[in-house]
Amino acid sequence: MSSGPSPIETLAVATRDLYEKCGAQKYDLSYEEFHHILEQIAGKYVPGAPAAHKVKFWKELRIEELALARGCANGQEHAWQVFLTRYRQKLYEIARGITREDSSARELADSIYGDLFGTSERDGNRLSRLSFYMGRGSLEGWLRTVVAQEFVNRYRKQKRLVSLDEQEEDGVQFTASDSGPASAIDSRLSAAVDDALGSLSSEDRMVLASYYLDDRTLTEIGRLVGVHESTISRRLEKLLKGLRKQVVHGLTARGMSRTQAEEMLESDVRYLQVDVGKKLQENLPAAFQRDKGTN
Amino acid sequence: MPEFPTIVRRRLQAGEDRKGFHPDADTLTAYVEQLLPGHERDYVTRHLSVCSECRDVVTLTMPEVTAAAEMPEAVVSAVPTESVSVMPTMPRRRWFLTPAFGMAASIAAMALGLTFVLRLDHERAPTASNQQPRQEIQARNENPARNESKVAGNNQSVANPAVQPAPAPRITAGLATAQVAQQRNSAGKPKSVPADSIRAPQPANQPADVADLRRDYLNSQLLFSSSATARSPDLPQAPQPMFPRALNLHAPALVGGSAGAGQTNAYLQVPAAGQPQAAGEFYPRPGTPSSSVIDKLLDASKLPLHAKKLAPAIRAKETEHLSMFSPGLSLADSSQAATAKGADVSEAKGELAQSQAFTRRALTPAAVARLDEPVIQWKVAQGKLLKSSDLSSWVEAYPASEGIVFTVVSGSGPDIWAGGSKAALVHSRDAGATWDKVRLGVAASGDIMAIEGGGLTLQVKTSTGQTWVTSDGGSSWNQR
Repeated sequence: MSSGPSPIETLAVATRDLYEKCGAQKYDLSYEEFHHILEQIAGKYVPGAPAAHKVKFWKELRIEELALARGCANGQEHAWQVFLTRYRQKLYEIARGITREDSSARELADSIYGDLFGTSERDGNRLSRLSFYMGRGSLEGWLRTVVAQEFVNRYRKQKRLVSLDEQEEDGVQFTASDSGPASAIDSRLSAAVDDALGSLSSEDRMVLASYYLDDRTLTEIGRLVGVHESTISRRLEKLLKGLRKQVVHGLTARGMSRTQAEEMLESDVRYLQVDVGKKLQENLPAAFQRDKGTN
Repeated sequence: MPEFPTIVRRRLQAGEDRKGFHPDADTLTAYVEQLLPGHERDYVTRHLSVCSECRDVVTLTMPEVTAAAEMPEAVVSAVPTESVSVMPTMPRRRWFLTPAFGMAASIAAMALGLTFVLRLDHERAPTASNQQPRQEIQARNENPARNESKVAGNNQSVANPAVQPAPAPRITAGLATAQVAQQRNSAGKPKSVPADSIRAPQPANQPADVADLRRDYLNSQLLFSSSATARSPDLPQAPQPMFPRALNLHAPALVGGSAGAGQTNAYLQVPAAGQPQAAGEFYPRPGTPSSSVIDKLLDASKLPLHAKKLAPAIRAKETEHLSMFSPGLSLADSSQAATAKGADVSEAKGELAQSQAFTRRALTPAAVARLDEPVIQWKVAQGKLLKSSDLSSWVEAYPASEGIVFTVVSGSGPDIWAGGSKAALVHSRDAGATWDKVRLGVAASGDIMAIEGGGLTLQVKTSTGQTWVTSDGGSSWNQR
């Protein structure tokens, strides 16, 4: 009876194959080091997977870019030359595209570049951010995500540190609090709304939150979900109608008449017209200020 | 958009506290690039539905957000660069696989089929019932007086068939009004033109639907003009059209034709200035391809019947320069790369070709289409114009019966120019599928030795030392 290769052999063959294909030798990555990296990635994303599954997962990785990133993380000179040639300009472009302002873009890109190079140390070793790249997406996409994360972190930190003078100038300190009607909310209404929201799919909830909480445009949401903006518009309408119907149904199930339930929602909407839109546009940097009308 | 109740907004916001761990940058990148397997994608979507930070990151990460074209020159010139700028594109979800779309498509297909069948029945097999009213209308036009008495007589015969009284004034008045209106409508139309003749004539061997398609296409290209502009001498005197489909046009007579003297246009006869034009006459829009080109395209493509309203396809390659992420708009052009290029670029270029970042999945649709397109090679050998798609077998690209001894060929992509003896110049816009003869001018002489330039601006040199230049893609030529 003939048996196939053992899991260890399968993994070894696959690793050798990938090692030769990705050109890790050019970046002075040894086979053992490369194998360790692959095992580390598989341990993180597909822990305990059988050998065949692991090999399939490895083959889907951006293996050449992974070798380049790990070469850079090791401080290999040739790897850095290649990295700079390919990605340095793109890094500035990405930062400019996100911040939409030259000086901020330059500052952001320089800061990320420092992190990539590794300005901090752990256990006496230089810690490069590139050592966290796992090759699941493109290296350029990963850089874009890293820049976006840094930008969002900075914005949120900055938002918490707005001075009182600025708040006073903006009139924020003296705006009426919107917590008044909240105290008057019927517990039955909250429960009905929670039930209705709980019945939504994750994607529907994400669409609602992106539009109404984050003030994203239909185009941006469409790009995120992978459909046309008109589809998002129709979907939002359908979602709101469905939500309203479910909330009314939930309220009637909790002992309210249909008229009472609809009146409760109507009064809630009237209050909303005073509140939303203006609040969402306050203190937003350029990247977050988009006119919904223009998309 | 319907109003969003405050309470829903509040409860939605309250749910944002249950976000758990954030996905790492790799996972978010793979999510944006649609590379995650289903269960992981669901997990990230679930997280995104309750985490505004990650939603912000993902939205900012979308490739279209980064506008390379907005990059200031100062920032770009400060860094070493390589003239490769290919943004990864996010594959779109297959929305057309949804049941709703399938049902809508089925209904649309059935409606189209039904419309076509009904139209065929109407056009090809006219029945006695629908011929009769037409004949009656014609008869009325020819003899209104008889019609009047007939209608009146009919009316009277219903009332009292035994007696022949005076015509009923009400009905007569109504008929007279209708006749006046009919005469007004037909003013400017030659009465000798019967209703059936307003259809465009069709070649006997051409299917009706293809002829209709050609006519629709030509109609869409026609300009109605009542101003005193110039016109081609061989354009027919057309009546004032009531609507575009009623044009009495004959495509071969309108477009194409032989080239005139002097600066000529092989694709379209541009009329000489100063000739008056009658009201309602129409001329082809400049740039309209000749009817022979259209016929060949239609015959070659064998378009299905439901594709009647389709315009000729625009190739991705032709519109690529309009794309936001096309290399043409990238700031990393060759000149900048030359000035700011870092060390060891030659080696890095080789690695770029191996990079996974530039695999087919990461390329734009236009770039993928370009990769798939066979590259046609051209050459002139023994006076013949030859082309090959694999460099192993060469076929004659221009009919030998035309008697042109070719000397030179030039062009890129589908736009090919070839010149030969006696200042003969031919041009193909579709990689040799169809050719147009181009005349340089009456004074052109000698064999064409060189064709330089491309696009709209072209320079042709002959063996007698003449240099002919065009700046409008060959419509007119000037001797330099």
